Amino acid sequence: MIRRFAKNGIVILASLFVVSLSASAVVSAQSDSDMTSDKLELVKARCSSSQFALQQIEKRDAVSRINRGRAYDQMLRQVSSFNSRFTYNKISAPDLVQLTSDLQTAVDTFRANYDKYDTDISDALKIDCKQKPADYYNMILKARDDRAAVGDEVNKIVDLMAQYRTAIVTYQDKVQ
Amino acid sequence: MSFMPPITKMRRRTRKILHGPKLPLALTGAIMVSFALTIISVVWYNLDGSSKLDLSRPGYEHERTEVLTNDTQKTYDTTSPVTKSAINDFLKEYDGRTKELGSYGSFTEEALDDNNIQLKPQNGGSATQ
Repeated sequence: MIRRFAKNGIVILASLFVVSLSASAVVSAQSDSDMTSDKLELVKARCSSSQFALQQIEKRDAVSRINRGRAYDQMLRQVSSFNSRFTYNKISAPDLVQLTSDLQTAVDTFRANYDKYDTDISDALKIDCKQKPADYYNMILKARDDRAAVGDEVNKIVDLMAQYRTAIVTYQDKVQ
Repeated sequence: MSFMPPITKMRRRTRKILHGPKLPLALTGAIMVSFALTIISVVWYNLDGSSKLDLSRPGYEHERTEVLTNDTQKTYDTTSPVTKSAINDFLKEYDGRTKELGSYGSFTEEALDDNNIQLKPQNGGSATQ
């Protein structure tokens, strides 16, 4: 009885393994077919210069990430302190508190998205694009998507900062 | 030569080390602790993303000069009354920061265009984008 169960288990596991292997092969073949042979040849031919360019982009992005991260931290400290000043003076400002919380969340998401994007770039730089041009280009496509997510978060923060400014200005008329 | 079980042998050896000179024991302990702490800090450095933003690595000399540093941490008044002038002061600094943020790269999508990563076909190449 136990033997039969074990046999069945092995058969099921083996079938699952075969199914997953064929599924990954299909996915891989599909992603390869998305790229023309010309494109693959181009990636192979310009592999070194492309990776060099990617490395320069990564370095520039690291500078932007560090400068932005520092400026965001300072901005969050400034707005949090100002919110505390409102609370200390018993002025109710729930909109300011909500916007600050949204800003904090957006800054955290910006950091997480950047980490993801930078991992894509690092992974792309590790790929031997002369041997695996399709893998390299697919990683570039992934990096593009993740970079767009970083850019979206930057725009979201700009928008939230503008909303906070507008909200503060409305309080200017209410205080002495 | 009499037979001695391995556990007794090990116990005797441990006792010998413990009752022997303390300096080698202390040195070995110190080396092992520092080795373990080094491994932990390197793993932490790589896992928490610090390594990605570490511009002190070789090859980042130029980028290092572009990072703006602010050594003094500004402290903000949280107890004074909220007045029009306080809000004006706040807005002055806030607007300055907004302007500063506008001067940094904003992760636009064009940076990873085929053209920018040297993958655009030249001379009317037939490769599709």
